[in-house]
Amino acid sequence: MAFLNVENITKSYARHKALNDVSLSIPEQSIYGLLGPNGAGKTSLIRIINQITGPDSGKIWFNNERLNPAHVEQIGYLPEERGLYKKMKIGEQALYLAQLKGMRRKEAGKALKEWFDKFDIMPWWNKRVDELSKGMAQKVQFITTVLHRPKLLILDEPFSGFDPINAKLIQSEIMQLQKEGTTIILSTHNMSSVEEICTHITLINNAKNVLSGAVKAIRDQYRTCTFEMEFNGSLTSFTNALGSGFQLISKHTHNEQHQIVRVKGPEPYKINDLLSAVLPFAEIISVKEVIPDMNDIFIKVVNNGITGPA
Amino acid sequence: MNKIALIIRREYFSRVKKRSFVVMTLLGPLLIVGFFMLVVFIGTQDNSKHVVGIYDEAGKYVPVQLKNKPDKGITYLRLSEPIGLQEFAEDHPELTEYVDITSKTINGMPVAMYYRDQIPGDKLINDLSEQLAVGFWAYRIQKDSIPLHDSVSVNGQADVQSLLNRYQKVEIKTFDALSEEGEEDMREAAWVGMGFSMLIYFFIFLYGVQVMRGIIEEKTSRIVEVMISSVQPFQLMMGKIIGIALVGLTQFAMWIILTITLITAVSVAMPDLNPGGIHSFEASAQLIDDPRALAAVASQGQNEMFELIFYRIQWPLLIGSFVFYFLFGYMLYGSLFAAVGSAVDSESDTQQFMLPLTIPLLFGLYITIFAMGNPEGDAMVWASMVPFTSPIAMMVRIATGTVGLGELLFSMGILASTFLFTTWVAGRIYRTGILMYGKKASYKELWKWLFYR
Repeated sequence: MAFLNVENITKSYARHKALNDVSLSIPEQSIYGLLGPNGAGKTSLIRIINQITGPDSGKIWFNNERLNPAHVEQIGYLPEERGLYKKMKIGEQALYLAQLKGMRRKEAGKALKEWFDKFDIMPWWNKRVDELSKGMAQKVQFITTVLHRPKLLILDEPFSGFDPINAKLIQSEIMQLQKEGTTIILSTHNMSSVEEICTHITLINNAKNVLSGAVKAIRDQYRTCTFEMEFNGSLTSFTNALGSGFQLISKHTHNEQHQIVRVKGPEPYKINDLLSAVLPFAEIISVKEVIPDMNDIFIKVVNNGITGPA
Repeated sequence: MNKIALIIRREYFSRVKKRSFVVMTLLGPLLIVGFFMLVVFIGTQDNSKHVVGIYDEAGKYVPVQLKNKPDKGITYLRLSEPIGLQEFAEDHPELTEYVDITSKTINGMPVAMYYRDQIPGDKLINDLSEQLAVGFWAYRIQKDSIPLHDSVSVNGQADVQSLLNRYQKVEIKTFDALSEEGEEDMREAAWVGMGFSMLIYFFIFLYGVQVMRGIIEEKTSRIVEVMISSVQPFQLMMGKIIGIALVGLTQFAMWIILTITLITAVSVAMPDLNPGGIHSFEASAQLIDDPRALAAVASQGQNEMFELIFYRIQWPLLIGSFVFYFLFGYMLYGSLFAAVGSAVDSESDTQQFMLPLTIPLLFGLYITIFAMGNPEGDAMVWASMVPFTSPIAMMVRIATGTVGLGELLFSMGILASTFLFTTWVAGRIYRTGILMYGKKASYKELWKWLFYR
């Protein structure tokens, strides 16, 4: 069952259309990647879900209810451009933000202490934000986003500004929150993080939803029957064995007898078909199907403006 | 806790705890009292020359010689004939002031002193007042044949009181001989009102700019997007405006308390600075045995000093109106300052939008300064009605008692409803502006923001 349903959202600003009839459905407990080039409309969509701005038309359903201001307390939002009150002490500030999300001061204090212990930043409690480094402030900001245990977590470029160690820490926290039942929307350019943690994605380009679905299904859709094989044997006899319909995309010859090749077969060719064809002529060392990564798909879809196979 | 209350709380405490707030709160009363003492000091340094023509209607109300005071530059001339105001103004260049003593004066009405070029200072008024007091007393004693000692020896407060009254300074009111006849000179009351006008002007500016700065800070530190994902932009804006208003009221209340404390302390420690001090001479010696009377004299001395301030002005009305006009004037401008803050990326970009806010405010102040001598004139009446100037102009009219209740309520009503309108406008600009970065907003754009969904 979808936790958040976005139906036919359209939003225009004075000079351009930010979202054009965008629909998407975000399953409960998914980590949902919102991808797209800069200016595609991701932030506009996120702001509409956060009720910071209203759509021109369209509806949003939050947990089977029409999205309304009461839902604000069940949403945690980490914007891309983020910051805190510079002159305010961290502990006090985190308490303030938690109270604005509807937490009681005492309960917020308790939860904060746990998070500060977990991130090992208890000594910062009475420091002012302008005394912290950017990465430190980001950690605090992440905590304030998740402190009130939102059902829906919206993270806009959550890894930017973190060093690799802290990015890993944040990533594992995100996955932990998902396990505990949180639905997470992740807007990012970082394709490797999409592959690592997203279960579903939507690709937005030019204000439109151009590609949506589970990560695995999308990658399957973009399979091109391309295989990479490493073998000992003659390249000529190998290509002869392939027969017609095959394309040799690339070859890398170590010596006369050791080859690494990439071949593209006619659809719907399977790895087993390839193996049975070349098995008598080559001593196979390794074989794998070359599946396009999200980066390839992203570039392909955005450049061609095509929506891919149905 | 209600979200807007949380915002108000943060805005309030984050400012009240600042060192600059504490410094201002302590410094303000020192400046006020320092200014007050400076005025008194300048009053004693007055080296103007006065030739006062005095006509005594019956020729007997002041049966003593008025002493000239060459050291103070004061000369008194007894006139044998009364002169009209026109005549005084045009045909008597040798006189700087003209005083007409009538039977009304002797029965407790203030003495009227007309001036031509220069408003008489406290030096002249105090001196004449003392001399006339002696003169009037002498007249009474002659008329009622009361021996001086008897009036004191009679047991009973009434007699002591009546003696004291005779010793009191005679009240002198000054009028411009050239202005409309009979028009009372309300300059003292007007100055008190002016003080409040200035205070409102500064408070609106000081705290309006704080609203603007606070919003620019939220915008540049980028916390604003997090904030408005939790609360409505309007709540955030109003929370800030109200929180800062409370800071202003706190400061004002502290200033009043500290100033009163300080003035009391100063006048106890340095009675010489008290220009309305006790002017009687033998009487003080005679009264010294009667502590009750002495206390009365002492307190009366002080009341002289503040006579105007404490009795002529309707303080509850003035203070109440001050709070109203400060709050609504500040909120009117504060909401517009908020809109400006939301439309820019940094404080250096604010100029083009500040101008339309600064001009009416300055205009209100200038009108009030130039027209304060004539608080019933058209300029002041209009300025006290137009909501962008009324918080400043109305203070003078209230202090001088030249505004009717109906007129006052009408002006307040206009101000309050304009505030609602500007807040609506500001709210619309604000919610769009706070999320706009990088591009410089134009007026045309602000206008469009008003009608965004």
